[in-house]
Amino acid sequence: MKRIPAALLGALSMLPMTSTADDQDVIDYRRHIMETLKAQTAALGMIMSGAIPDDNVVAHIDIIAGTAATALKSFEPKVEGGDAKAEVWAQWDDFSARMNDFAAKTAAMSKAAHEQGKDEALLLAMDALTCKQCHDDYRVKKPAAGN
Amino acid sequence: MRLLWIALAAFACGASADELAAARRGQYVATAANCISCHTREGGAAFSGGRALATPLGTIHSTNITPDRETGIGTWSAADLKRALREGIAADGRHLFPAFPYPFYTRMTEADIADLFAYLRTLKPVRYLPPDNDAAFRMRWTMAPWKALNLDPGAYRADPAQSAEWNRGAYLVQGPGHCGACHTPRTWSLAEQSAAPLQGAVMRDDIKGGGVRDWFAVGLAATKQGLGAWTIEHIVDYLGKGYGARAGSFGPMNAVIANSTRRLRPEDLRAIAVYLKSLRGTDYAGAAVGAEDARSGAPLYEKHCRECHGPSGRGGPFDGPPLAGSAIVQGENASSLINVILQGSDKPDGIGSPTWETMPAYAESLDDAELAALANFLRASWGNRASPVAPADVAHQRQGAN
Repeated sequence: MKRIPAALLGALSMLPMTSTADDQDVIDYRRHIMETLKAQTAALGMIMSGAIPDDNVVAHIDIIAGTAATALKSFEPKVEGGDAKAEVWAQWDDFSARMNDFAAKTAAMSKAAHEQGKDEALLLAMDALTCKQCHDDYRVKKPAAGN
Repeated sequence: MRLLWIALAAFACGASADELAAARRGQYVATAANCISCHTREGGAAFSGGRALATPLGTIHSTNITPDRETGIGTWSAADLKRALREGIAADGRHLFPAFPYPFYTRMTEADIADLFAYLRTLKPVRYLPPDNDAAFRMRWTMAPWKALNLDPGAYRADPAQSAEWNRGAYLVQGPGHCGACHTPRTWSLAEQSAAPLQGAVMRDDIKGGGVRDWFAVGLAATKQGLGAWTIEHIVDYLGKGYGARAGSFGPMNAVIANSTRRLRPEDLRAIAVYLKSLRGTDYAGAAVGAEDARSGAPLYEKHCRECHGPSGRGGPFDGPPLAGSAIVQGENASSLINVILQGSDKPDGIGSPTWETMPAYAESLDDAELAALANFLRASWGNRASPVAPADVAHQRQGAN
């Protein structure tokens, strides 16, 4: 292992160890995560439709699984706003169980992609990527949000 | 559950194995004919009637077809049912209005009609008398000359030049499935235009709390504005699951899919698709939305639609249905397109994509001019071609939507 330069260590030590995220930061952070998931599933969908060759399937699945694992954490600060309904926190047990399920299913899809192959992984996609189920319950309907 | 009831009812009546088998086949016929959708009112017992049906002549209520002897069809014989289906005449000799789609049911085979009778006999009798109909429907005598002009009675005759599969599909579509009741335009006398079968037509439904609302039942022929871009698999998926790569169900097709087509055998759905794919029509060549009108709707698309329908209207399996090449978007009449934007796309449980989000209602966030601009953008983009939509068209649909 290379030695880390003392100057860099010093610089790192000055970074705050606790988050100073304000409410808008919290909202923006979880929005970035959700938009990543949205873009990656859309891209995967194009491959599944046969519009695009399947060379990148495993990469898309890995990004989705890796991002899904970060998603619940981004909702832990109880900051209402953005597209999240208040029910996210009012029904936290259900919401978090479903997010964990999402992370587990996409992780299983990633595992299948590496161990069994693309086709086996894609068979799991329609069950793993049911974003709709949670969005129907926990995401504000677009027009009502006035955007 | 219903099969169990048939078995119990048949057992209680001392029915033979033959009668039980006929009733089971008849249940499938009733499903293909979607009797339950019209003959059941909201919250009412299945097949006991009373559903208000909007027609251009006024409101008519469906009848009770359970075997209750006083309010239903308990006193009808097999021959009575056959005459009703073939000729539109009730057991008591009264002419029936073609809101009951006997111009289609007349194409049913003898065997299917006999099986349907056997099935209807096994239903639990329900005592319920539907409400009176509007005034126009008291003049039953008018139906005799109407039938003389418009009814072509008799069972479906197979076309020997076509395959057995095609003929099965044609039978299901033209006979029990009565697709043309909504999808075929009508003449001045409200008869189906035989020259334009399944080319798309305006239909109506009742709105809770009063009033009627127009829909456009899309053209099913292989045109750019119809099912031209659909494969057989797309049609089978749509009818079997309520969604496919080309479209998702909403509006009046929800009940058709939920109560009828998704319960049909895969080979029958395929036969229907084979037949529909053989229908020829003409691409729309009339006045189209101009470039200027189309452009003004583009920002609204970016803001409200792009996330699910994609940057170029193609949708996707995890996004939403495609709008490019869509029959609804390019309808000869835009009422269904306007309705789905105004009201969103609620569906009964069990049908529709598990991954597409439910389309929200935009009635409150888009005014008439904005919604017309958006509709015009959709109707002129990505290769779509259709007539312009005016704000007044949106206002007309909105009266029903709120």
